[in-house]
Amino acid sequence: MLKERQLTELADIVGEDYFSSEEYMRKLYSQDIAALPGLVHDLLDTSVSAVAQPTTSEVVANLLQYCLKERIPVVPRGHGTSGYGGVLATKGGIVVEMTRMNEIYNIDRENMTVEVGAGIIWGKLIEELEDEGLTVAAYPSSAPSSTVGGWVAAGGTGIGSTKYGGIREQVVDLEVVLPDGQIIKTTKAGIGLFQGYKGLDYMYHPGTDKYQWGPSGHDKPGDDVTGLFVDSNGTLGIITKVKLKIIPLRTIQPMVASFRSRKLMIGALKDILEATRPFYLHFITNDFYRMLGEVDKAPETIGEWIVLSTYEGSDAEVAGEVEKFHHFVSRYGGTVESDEIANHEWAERFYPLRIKRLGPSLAPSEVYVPLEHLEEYLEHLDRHFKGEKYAVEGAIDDLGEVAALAWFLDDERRKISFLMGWYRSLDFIKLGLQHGGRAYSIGMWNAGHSLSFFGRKNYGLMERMKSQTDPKNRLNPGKVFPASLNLSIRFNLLILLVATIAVPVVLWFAGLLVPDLIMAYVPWLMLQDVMSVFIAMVIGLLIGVVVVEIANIVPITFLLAIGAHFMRLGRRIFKGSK
Amino acid sequence: MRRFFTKEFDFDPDKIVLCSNCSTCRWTCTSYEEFGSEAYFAGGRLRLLRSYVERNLPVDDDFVRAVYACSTCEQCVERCPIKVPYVDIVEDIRHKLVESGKGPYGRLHLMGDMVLKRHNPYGEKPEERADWVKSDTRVSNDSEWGYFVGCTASFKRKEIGDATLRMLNYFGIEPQILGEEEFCCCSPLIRTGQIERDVYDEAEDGTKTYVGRLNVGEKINHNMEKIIERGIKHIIFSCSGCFRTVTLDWPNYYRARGGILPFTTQHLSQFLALKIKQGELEWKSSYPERVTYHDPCHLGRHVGIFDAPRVVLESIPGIEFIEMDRAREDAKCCGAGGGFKAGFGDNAINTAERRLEMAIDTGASTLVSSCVFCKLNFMDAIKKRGVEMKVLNLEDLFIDLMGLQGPG
Ligand SMILES: Cc1cc2nc3c(=O)[nH]c(=O)nc-3n(C[C@H](O)[C@H](O)[C@H](O)COP(=O)(O)OP(=O)(O)OC[C@H]3O[C@@H](n4cnc5c(N)ncnc54)[C@H](O)[C@@H]3O)c2cc1C
Repeated sequence: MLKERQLTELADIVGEDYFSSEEYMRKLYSQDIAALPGLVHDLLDTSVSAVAQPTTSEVVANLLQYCLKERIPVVPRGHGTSGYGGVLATKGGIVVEMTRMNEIYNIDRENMTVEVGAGIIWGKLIEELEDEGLTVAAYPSSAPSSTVGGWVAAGGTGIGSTKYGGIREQVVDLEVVLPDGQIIKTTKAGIGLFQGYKGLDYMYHPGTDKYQWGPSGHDKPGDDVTGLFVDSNGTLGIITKVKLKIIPLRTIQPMVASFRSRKLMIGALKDILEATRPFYLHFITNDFYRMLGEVDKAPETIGEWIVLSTYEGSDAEVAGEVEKFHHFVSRYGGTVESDEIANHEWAERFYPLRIKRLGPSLAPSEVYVPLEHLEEYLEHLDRHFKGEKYAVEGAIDDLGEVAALAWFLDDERRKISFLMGWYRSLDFIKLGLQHGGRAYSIGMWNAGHSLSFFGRKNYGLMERMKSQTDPKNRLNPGKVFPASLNLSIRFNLLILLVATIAVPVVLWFAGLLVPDLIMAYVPWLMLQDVMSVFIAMVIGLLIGVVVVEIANIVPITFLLAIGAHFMRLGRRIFKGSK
Repeated sequence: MRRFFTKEFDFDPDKIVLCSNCSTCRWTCTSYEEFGSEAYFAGGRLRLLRSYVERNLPVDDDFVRAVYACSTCEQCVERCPIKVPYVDIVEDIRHKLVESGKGPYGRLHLMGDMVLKRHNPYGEKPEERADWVKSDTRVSNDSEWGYFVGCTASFKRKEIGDATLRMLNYFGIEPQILGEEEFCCCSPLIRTGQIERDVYDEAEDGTKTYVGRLNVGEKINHNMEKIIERGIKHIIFSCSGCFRTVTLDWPNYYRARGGILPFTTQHLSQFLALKIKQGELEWKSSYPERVTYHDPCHLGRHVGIFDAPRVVLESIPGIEFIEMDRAREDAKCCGAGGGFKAGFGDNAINTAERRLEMAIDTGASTLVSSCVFCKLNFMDAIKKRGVEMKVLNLEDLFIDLMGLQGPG
C-alpha cells in the first residue's frame, strides 16, 4: 500500500483529474480480460494502489522518476485486452494507463509513416487514416478496443499479417520512457542507451580502423534498438509514441472457400500461401463451424472447413490473385462460396468471441505452429483433449506460421472444474511447441518461454538492459523475466494455519501408529500433555513460515509447469461435478 | 442453475458471465468518452459489478455513480459480438440499488418523489396538464386516435404538444388526450431503477415523514385503464422516451391479455412517413437548406425506427439531406437519456457538443431530431458553444412548412 503522502505527490505529478486511488478503480485495474479462475485471485494478489493516466511523455518521465525514487512498482497498461497477464500487478504499486495519449501527431506521405500516441485505439487510427486514403498494413482483431502501444508491447500478428507481417514489422520508431525517466527515440538512442550503461560494452566491439570492421546487425551500438521493445510487455520502458508504416488504401477482396476435410483444407492453405499473397489468410475447423451453427452464426457453406483469404492491392493485382485462388480451391475439391458469405466473414473478423454464448465462459489459448506441422498438431490435439469441448481457428503469418487459437468452452461458475481446466490452455501451448512452434506472446503466464521466444541473443540483451536500467525490477515485475509469486495475504495465512494444525495431528497419529519407534529415537516428539501439543504447534508455525518464504520465491512459471499435471488430473475428477 | 451472486445482487448469472471482457463496446461508449476510465463503459461496469458481488464488497457511492453515469444509449449492445443485454442489466442493477436504498444517484430521486405526488417528474400541478391546448386546435372525446403528450411537452415544451396536435388536425384527426388523467409514462423512473420505493418528505431539520409508496406499475396501469376506458385504439407519440416505454416496457406491467397492449403505438415520424407513402401529404413550401438527422437512441436503436424520419425529411422539396459520420444503428448518443442529463448535467452537455461537432462537420445548417430531450440537450450545447445551428424536431419542421403555426 502506498502512503497518503505518496498518493498526493503522485496526483500532483499526473494531475488530479487523471489520478485515482478509489477502491472501485483499484478493483477494476487489478484485472485483465481473462476470466481467471476465481481461485487464482484467492491465491495471487494482483491489486494495485492507484491508477494514473498521464497525458504527455514528460508526465510519464516524472512519474517513473518518482516511482524509482520511492520504490513503487509500475504496471503499464493500454486497454487491458491482452490475456497473458501482462497488465496484472504482481507486487502492487500503480497502473499507468496510456489511453490519454491518443493523438495522431504526423502523417508522413513521403516515407509512408504515421506517428501516434501509444494510447490511441487501432480502430480510431484506421478510421482517420482511411479518410486520407491510407491505412495501416496490419492490425489486431481487437482493433475496436486495443491500443497501438499495447499491441507493440504485447506483440503478435493480426489482420494483414499474412502479407505485411506482425506488429514487429510495422514499427518504425518508438518514443520510450526508460525506467529512470529518460525519454529516448529507439532508432537514434542506440549508442547513448548502451554506452550510458556500463557492462554492455563487451558485447559490442566497435571495431577499429586499423584492424577490423565494426560488426553489423542488430546489436551494434548506435543501431536501432526498436525491436527490443516490441514484445517486451513494458518491462524495459513505457512506450509513449509509436511511428508505424502505412500503406495506401486499395481494393480489399475477401474470398471464402469451404472444404470437406482437414487434409484437403490444409493442402489448399499451403498452395494458396505459396502461389498467392493473401493480405489475411484464416481458417476455422469443423468444430468451430458447428459451434457457430449452435449460435446461428455459421455461414451456409458446402463444407465445414472454412478458409477466408483476403486480397489487397490494385484492381488488376487482386483480380489475378482471385483467379489463382479459384484454381487452388478446386484442386482440393473445395467450393468457392458466394461474395455475400465472403463479405460477411470478413466483417466478422473483429468478433472471434462470437461462440461465447455456448460457454458461457471461454478459456482461450494461442500458439504459433508451422503450417507444415499443422495437420499433425491438430490430430494430436484431438487425442489429447478427448472429451473436452473446444474449437480451433488459425491465421497464417508472413513466415508461414499458423497463429493457432483455441477456444475451450467452460463454465466459470463451476469454480473447481474451471480452475483445473486451466491445464488445457497450458497444454495447448506445450503441444504447439512440441510440433515446432513458439509461444504467441509472453506476458506473465508465458514468462517461462521467454528464452526460446526471444532467442538467446536478444533475450540476453533485454536482460542486460533490464538489469542496468531497472535493477530492482520495479517496471512491470513478473513479466517476460520470470519473478517470484506474490501470494495473497489470505493464502499465506492459510499456509501458516494448516502447518500449525498439521504438525500436532501428524505427531499424534505417529504416536498411535508407531509409539515404540518414537519413544526409542525421538521421545520429545511424543504428545503427552498440553505443553507438548503447544510446542508441536509452534514447530508447525515455524515450518509454515519457512514454507511461506519458499512459496513466495517460487517463480510463477515453475508453479504453472508443475501445476499443469495436477490440474489435468483434477479436471478428470471434477469435470462431471456440478 | 446454482446461485453465483450474493443476495444483494441476485442477477441472472447467465447475463453477466456472458460478457467476454473484449471491450469492443468501449470505443463508442457515451460515458467512456466523457469520463475516460474503465469504470465508465458497459464492459467495465459489468466487470466492476462482478468484483463487487463475487467478493461481497459493500456497495459504495463510487459504484453507484459509475452505474448511473450511463445514458442507456445501447451503442454497446449494437457493437457487442455476443449481444450481452447490457442496458437491461444496468437497469436491473439500478433497480436493485434503489431497492436496497443505495440508489438512485444524486438528486434523481426527486423525479420519483414528484411522480408519486403529482404524477409528473417536474412537480407541476396535474390539473394544468392540458393547459397548452390552444383554442384554435381540436381534441375530441370519442376518437379512436389518442395523443400521449408526455410530461415534457405538457409542462416544459408546450410548443411540441401544440405542433403535434396541429399536425394531427391537419390530417383530419381530432385525437383524445388524457389531460389531467394522463400520468407519467414512467420512462425516467424505469431507466433509473425507481420501480418501487418508499417516498419521504424531508423537513429542513432533517426529520422525515412518510408520504407513500411509489409504484411504477400503478401509474402505468392507471394510464392503461384510462386509455382503454376511452376506447382509444391508436396512440401517437411526439416523445421518443414515452414511445419506447409504452411500446417496450408497459407490456411488462400490463398483466391482462398476457401483456399484449390493446392499442397500437406509433411515433409521429412513422405517422408522417405513412402519410407520404399514401400520397396524403403535399408539402406547401420548400426548405432549401442542408439538413442532417440525429437518431434518438430510444427511437432508433431501442425500437428500430430509422427509416421513417428519413423518408419524411427526404420528401421535403429543396432539402439537401446529408447523413452524419455515424448514423442509424451507429448513431452517437447526445447524452440526454437514461437519467444522464438529470444526474450529470454538465457531462451531458459535453456529450451533446461532441455529437454537434459531427453535425457541424456535415456543413448542415439544421439539425433535425425527433425527441424532446435530444433537442433540449442540443440547444444547451449550442448555447455553450456559441455556434449557429438550427435544432428542430420533425413536428416543428412540419408546421413551419405547412404554415400551421398558431396565433402568437
Ligand atoms: C477480441 C480480441 C481479439 C484479439 N485479437 C488479437 C490479434 O488479432 N492479434 C494479437 O496479437 N492479439 C490479439 N488480441 C490480444 C490483445 O488485444 C493485443 O495484445 C492488444 O493489442 C493489446 O493491447 P492493449 O491496449 O489492450 O494492451 P494491454 O492489454 O493493456 O497491455 C498489453 C501489454 O503491454 C503492456 N503495455 C501496454 N501499453 C504499454 C505502453 N504504452 N508501454 C509499455 N507497455 C505497455 C502492458 O503492461 C501489457 O504487458 C485480441 C484480444 C481480444 C480481446
